[in-house]
Amino acid sequence: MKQYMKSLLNLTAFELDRISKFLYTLLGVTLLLNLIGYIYTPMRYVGRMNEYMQTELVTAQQAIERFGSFSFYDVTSALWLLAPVTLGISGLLLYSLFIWYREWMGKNTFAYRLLMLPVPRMQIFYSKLFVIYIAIFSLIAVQIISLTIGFQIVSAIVPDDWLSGMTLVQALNIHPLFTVILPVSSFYFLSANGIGLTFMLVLFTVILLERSYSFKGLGIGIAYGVITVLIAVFPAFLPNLVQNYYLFYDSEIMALIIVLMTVIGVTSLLISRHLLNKKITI
Amino acid sequence: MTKYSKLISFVLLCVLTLSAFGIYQIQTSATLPEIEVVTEEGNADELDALYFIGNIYSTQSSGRSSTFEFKDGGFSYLNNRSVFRHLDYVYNPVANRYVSDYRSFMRGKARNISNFTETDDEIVYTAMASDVNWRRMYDDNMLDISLFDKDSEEEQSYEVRLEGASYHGIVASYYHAPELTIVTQAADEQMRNGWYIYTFNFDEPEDTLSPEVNVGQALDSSSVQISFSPTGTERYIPFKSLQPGAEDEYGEITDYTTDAFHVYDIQTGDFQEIPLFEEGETLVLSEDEQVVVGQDLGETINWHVWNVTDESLNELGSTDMITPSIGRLPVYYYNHSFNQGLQLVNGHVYAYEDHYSEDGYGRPMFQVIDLDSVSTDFSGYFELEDRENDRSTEIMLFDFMINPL
Amino acid sequence: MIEVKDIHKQFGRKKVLNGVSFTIEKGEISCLVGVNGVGKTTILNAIMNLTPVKKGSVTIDGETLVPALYNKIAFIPDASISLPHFTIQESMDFMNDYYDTWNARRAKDILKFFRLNASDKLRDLSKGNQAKVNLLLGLALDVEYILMDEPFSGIDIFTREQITEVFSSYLVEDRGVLITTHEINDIEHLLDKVILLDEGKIYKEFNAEHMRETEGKSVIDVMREVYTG
Repeated sequence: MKQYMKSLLNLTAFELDRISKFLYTLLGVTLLLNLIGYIYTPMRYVGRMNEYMQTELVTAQQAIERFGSFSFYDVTSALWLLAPVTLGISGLLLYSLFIWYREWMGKNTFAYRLLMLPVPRMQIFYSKLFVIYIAIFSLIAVQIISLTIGFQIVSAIVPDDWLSGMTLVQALNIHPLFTVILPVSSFYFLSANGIGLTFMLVLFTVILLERSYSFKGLGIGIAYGVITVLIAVFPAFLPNLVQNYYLFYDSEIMALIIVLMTVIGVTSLLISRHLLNKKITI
Repeated sequence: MTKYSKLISFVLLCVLTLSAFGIYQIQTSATLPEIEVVTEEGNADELDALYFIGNIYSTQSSGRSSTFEFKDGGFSYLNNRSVFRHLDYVYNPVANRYVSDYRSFMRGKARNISNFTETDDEIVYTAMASDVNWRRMYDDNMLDISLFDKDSEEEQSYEVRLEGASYHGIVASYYHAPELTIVTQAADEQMRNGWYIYTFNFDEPEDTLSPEVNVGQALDSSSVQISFSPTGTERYIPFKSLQPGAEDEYGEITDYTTDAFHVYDIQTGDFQEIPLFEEGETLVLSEDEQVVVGQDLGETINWHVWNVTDESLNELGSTDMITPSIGRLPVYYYNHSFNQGLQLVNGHVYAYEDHYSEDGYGRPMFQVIDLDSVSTDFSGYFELEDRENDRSTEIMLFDFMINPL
Repeated sequence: MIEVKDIHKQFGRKKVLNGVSFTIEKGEISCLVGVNGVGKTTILNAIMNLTPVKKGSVTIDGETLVPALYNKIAFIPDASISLPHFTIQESMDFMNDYYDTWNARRAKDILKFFRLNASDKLRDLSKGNQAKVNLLLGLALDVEYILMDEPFSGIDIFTREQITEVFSSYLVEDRGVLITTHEINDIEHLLDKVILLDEGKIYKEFNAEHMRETEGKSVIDVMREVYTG
């Protein structure tokens, strides 16, 4: 067991080392764009308020009536914060493909080395999965740190009287994106991560199918992906299928979705293990 | 060790930040404000039969909104429930109580107030088949009826075709064992909207039902409203005929005046007209065998009992109302019912108003009148305990019911 | 003993291996020979569980290959199998992290023998030196069997000589070695067993020295007979 954990840790540390440059870039871009957003968005508001007060010769209160008070939500909904999130999600999604295909790419066939390691081959699978999750959570952590600092920056730029009084947590609670990707609501956060984890397991399985059976595997993989999506969303259409909207309670539909997603996840793990152990081709 | 330093750093970054953020959220999360019943007159215990679902929200921050319920004289916030319990929550006090107490019976059944009638021992479910299956043809006119014994939890189900009209919507049902009286709104062959009353006998169940009466035709009125029924056990169903008033720029009638009140006697199938008062508005309520008529003078209501035998009024006395409009304003804005804010249950009139304080805060207000003594057993409102220091939180009532049992 | 038993393999509709069986004994140097595309690399991959076979089995000392057995058998493929941005030292450290049988002292010896610099990055090395690193990473393992795929492919004459020296050194002593190569001349005299593949089957299995002594033919002569005649 100790040996198993040691090699798994080694592989994870190794994979993390390989992703680190890419991850640092994502984190850097996030912080930089966020910083611009924390300064530019409130400055623009303050500028507009001042200009309106000077040209129309009105009080700050009248200007607030015209433009509304400023809340941190105005910052979080700006492109400066949304763009890096989108970039992070799409970047890590692409990296999830790259993390496997690079082993077969170019002159260097590192897949030889990985597959010939005297460790269970699923450790390769787990280490890649862990590293993707470490990257996801690092982005989340840095986003939280960034938002906390950003809240202070915005509060310093906009005069207190012009602020709506919305707290950081309140601003995140009503944000359609942050409320899902950040741990603001445990239900949404767990749901998003549950769906995300199942998606990653299916994606890895599809990749391994392709690596095992080539074009035929890609076809099987796409079919597998489509079937898993259909299975996962099937409970949502159950009321329509049974032609009674109230036959199942929402909690039962939710429980069924969780069970099916778990089944999909475990099935994907078993298929992946079989492929890695018996079918994978250099 | 150095080969793990990056791994350890990233994991620590994640764990520490997420933990700190969790602690920060707990520390900064505002505790939900306490709500209290402010009694102006009488005893707040009179509200024990009241079950309502309300919401508090911040007027300053749209991020803060919480739903609560008032039940058995106490408050509880819904946020404190598990996700799974929350998912099954029905924002309708009657259906929510049934889902909680009779989960198996409620499976597959529509969850509107109008679908249920309850007595001490039984619950009757009445709904069109299309109410639970939105893809089903609305004009197949199939009605589902279930009689549920609360003790044995046994259920008898029937499927019945309604004749005489199409596209039925169940408005109310009234149960006097073994007969069930069903009021529907439906369309006739010319697609004109009308009110129909059907009777179903559990001792002699039939596959098809023909209307006992077409209310509009019987009352010679094109616009009819029914009294909102909290119990479904009354013998006399009050109907109000309306006279269309002004039209808006689109030709829609926006204003109606009361033309006449009639009560439909479930046992005889006859209508009796109740005369309007010359002074003030007329109110008609009913419960069990009793029809109560009120002369609404704004500040006071003079209560009478309608004597169905000689069609006369017996005066009970007068009650001072806490506001000139309490109970007499529409609550749900469904245009097919009246008495939405004035419900007669167990000989008590419960009057509700979405009242506002002088400084503009919403405070759901109730007045409970005992018709035996025509005195106010309770009047008061719901308010934040700490209103002095919380000027940005509003209270709003979604839906309420008076539990007659 | 490595026992390859009746393995079948096809790519698409093309049958590559059609019932190949042979054994590799410890202390023997065996060579799979055959023209391009005859399935030599596929056999090595199949032994190492790097490609599935349709039918047949491979056992190593009676056991089916499981990950733990990679401490018993090493494969040196005809491709660089360390990361290009790694230095030779980092590649060796990587091996040390996972293999119980990694022999650091021997690695040092081979490094010296091949005159490689541990701090050089793999991507900066010539093809010949990359092949040497591959050999280094395989030979420094205290394994009982070594498989090598085309160790001389695209390598200059001097490097080839160096690599040839390995086959007569203590580095392969007492081990079972299976190699595939076209450059049979250089090592012919070292081979114990030659396995000649043709049309997905073993055409002939013989001892090179015995063949030379009894029939006066070199391995190339036998190959010429099979593939051209």
